[in-house]
Amino acid sequence: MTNQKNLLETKKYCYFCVNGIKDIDYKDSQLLRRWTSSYAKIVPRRRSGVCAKHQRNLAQAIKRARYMALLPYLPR
Amino acid sequence: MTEEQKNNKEKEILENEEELNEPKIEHYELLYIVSNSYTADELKPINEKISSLIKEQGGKITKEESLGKNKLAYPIKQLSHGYYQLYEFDLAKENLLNLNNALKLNKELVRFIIVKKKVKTEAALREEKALQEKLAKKKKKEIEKIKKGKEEDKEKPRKEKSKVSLEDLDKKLDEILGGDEML
Repeated sequence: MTNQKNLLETKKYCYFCVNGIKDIDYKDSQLLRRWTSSYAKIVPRRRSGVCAKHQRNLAQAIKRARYMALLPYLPR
Repeated sequence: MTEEQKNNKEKEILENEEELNEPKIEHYELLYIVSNSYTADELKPINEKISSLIKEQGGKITKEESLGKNKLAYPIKQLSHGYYQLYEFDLAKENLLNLNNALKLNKELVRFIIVKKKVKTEAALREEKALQEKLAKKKKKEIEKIKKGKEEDKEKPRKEKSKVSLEDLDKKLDEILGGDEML
């Protein structure tokens, strides 16, 4: 089972490191949507492959976006 | 010597205190939602009121932008739409709380958020540019690699296919002809 899982997994990388994004903008809700699950939860690092530093900034940005009603707290 | 050192120390302490007494100016960003019950014409006085509030606290507005009427991700106070407005300003750290309290008293604002924003120095901007250029070069190389790989992949099977198909055709033709002769 573990072998099969490894074969299916694609190579993970941090989107923000690869694209040289230092500050994550909470107003860009369309971009932040990529790191929320279908239940509107923040996707964990082990699934998204985002590095620790950017995951912290990302979580902060998503929470700010939620407060300003740019992102939902709950799915419809 | 000892007296001199003492004097120096006292001077340093005084300087530090002076630095502390100076108002620490930070760069902030304010984003707020105006209730949808107001029309677009009524927005202007509201925005002016908010900007005057910032100026009252000694803030310098550096950027003003309206993000337009947007649908809210969830209803707030039975509202489904709101006008988003953005301000960037420099403000002394001490006055931030006052501004926050003043904004809270506004009924027109459904919600607002003040965020500290980093001021980009020239050196940082230059670094960013260099980084972006580096990344762009990397991407180009990768794309070229992928393209080359694809072209090679395409060329090989095509030749083989055509050869095979020609041979197959000859064989098939022979078979058909042979079959015909047999009949």
